[in-house]
Amino acid sequence: MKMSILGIEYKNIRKIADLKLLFTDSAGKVIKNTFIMMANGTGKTTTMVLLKGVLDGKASEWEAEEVKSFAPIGRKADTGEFNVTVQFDDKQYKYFLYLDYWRGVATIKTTTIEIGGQERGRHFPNPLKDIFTSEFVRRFIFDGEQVKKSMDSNSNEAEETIKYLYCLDKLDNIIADNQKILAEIQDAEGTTGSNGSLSNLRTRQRRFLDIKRNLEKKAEKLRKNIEECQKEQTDKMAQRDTLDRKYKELSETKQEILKEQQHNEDQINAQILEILRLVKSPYLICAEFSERMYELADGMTKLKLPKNISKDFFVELADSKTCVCGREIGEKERKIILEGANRYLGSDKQAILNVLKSSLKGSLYDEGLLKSFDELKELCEEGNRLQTRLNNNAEKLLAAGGEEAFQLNEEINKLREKIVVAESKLEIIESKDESNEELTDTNNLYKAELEYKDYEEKIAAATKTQEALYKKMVVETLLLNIRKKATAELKKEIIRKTNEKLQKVITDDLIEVESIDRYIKLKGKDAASEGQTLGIAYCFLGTLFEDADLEFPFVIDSPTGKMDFDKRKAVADIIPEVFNQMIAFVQSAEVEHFANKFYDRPDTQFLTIIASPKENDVEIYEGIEFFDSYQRDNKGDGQNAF
Amino acid sequence: MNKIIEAAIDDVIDKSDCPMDFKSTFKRYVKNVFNNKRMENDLKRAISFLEEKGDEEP
Repeated sequence: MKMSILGIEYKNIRKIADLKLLFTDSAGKVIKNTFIMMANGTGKTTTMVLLKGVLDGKASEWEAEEVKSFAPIGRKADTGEFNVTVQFDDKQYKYFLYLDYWRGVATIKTTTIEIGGQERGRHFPNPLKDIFTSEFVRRFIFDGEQVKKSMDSNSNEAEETIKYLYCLDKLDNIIADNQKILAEIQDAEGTTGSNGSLSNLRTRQRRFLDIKRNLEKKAEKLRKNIEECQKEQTDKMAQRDTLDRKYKELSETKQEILKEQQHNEDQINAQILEILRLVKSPYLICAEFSERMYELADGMTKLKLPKNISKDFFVELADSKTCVCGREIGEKERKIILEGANRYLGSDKQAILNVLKSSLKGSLYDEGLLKSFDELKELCEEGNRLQTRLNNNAEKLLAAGGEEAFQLNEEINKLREKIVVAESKLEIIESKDESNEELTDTNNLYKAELEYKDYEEKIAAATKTQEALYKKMVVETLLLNIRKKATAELKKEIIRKTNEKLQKVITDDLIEVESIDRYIKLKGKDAASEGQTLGIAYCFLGTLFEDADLEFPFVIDSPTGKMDFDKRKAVADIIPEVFNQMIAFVQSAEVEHFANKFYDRPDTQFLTIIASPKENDVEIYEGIEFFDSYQRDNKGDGQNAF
Repeated sequence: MNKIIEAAIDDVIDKSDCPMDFKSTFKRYVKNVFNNKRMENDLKRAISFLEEKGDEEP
């Protein structure tokens, strides 16, 4: 099934009094690529929030304050409206979001040809009715910063994107149904022999179900909070960066130091790998180890090992009159020794001892490891010097930037602290570390889940429904195995196709995806440059969009961010191939080498939205000419390109 | 539905020790879920083909 967005419309929302954006041509055909340049403050972020809120249905759960925040400023309006027209194959659905600023209530309604009038809530074609969750929607309506998360080792974005775009979360629905069936059986059985202890067990199990749900909600809230703080932090850092650029010399020094730091970090990593390789040979760790090992080999020679512990030794012993323990060896003993000699070292085992002996003799110490440690020490010292230089430079930039820089710095630090606090709270909820004593069955999902399962077994025993529990476990195990197997196989294919695309996008460096384990890991590299990261993420997303069952539009805010010009060109080539419809909200700095690569494409439109000279409204201009001249006049608007 | 997911469903269920009737009903049910034709009773029906603990097919 193919989904396209045909248009969006705003009425009385923040700075917009009335605005309609159409993504179709005069014949009603969907335009493949739409570039919308919205000047700062004209509603780019608002549009993304509204689109997500309508399509995932979360808008109807917004708090009153959030709803009221969309009210026009300096213009009286008690209500606002945002609507989006969507086409699923050949059927049109129109979703309305009504905002009651007076009461602080948001309502979603849908209309289709079949429905006729408007019906409350969101309605989708039958095959899609369960999939428009916020997790799914935010994977095709998102911003450039989010794209990079699939490469972030602190995030499991890549894994989650695969799960939601391939609808593997449907297996979770079956697991929930399976659980419900067991509960029904236990309820039916429980009523026949109800007693206080059973009801007690059920109350306790329900308590852990509530705890789990609350923890999941808390985790979701924390993740959202972290994401918002990170976005705000990135914005502030970009503002700080723009401010720093005014002080050319200091700014250039900063870039130089950052480059040197990156080089220093790469060298440190290489040196650590070399040290790890060397310590696998104990004789290289210190001269004494080597000497002791040599002595051991020498001792073996003196003892005539392995010869003396071989069969020959017992044959010789059988010839002796007395044993090594001093007792006499008679005929009987001689016979037993000769019979038993066969159990001792044969020539194959002697060969092993010989190899051991010669390798012990060859274990000569050299100062390679010491030198490596010295080099590592020097590199670390250089790292410290670079950090000091960077700190000094940062202080000078801060002083040069004055109050504005101090303010931004303070805000960035506060956001950083907020992120750390939220991340540690999230860690407590999601950790599976059994040795962590801080975790309890009320603050940790894993422990709450264990308690829940424990009560499940106790209830099964009390209601004599162990068989039903066993069957539930069989089904659950199969479903979990299906998910594991499908994910592993999908990943193999995604990696192969992503690497194929990467060869075309990144031509100046050898970048290859090695694995996807929560996030995208690269072969032989811990990290990629910011531009490369975006390139990799688009190749990954492009593969997912290409292979998913549902073709859907790709709506993105700031698609290229800080990507360098070469990679922008390559991404501009890839996007039309992999997305059936792209709606990109760009900043003026993103036009050069990206949006302008589409100027000659017939299936593309360019819209520019700017603040109207009339107060509190916006104006829309269609066409390349205005779009191009606006970006030339406003290159400093928003992020700077590198 | 996606061919890789379909193959994973077949592979995991076929390799399990469950009875044949369960395998075919459950496979059909899981595939239906991916094709958005989920019916809760189909799952109950599949589970009814599972044998009691210890009585599974070898």
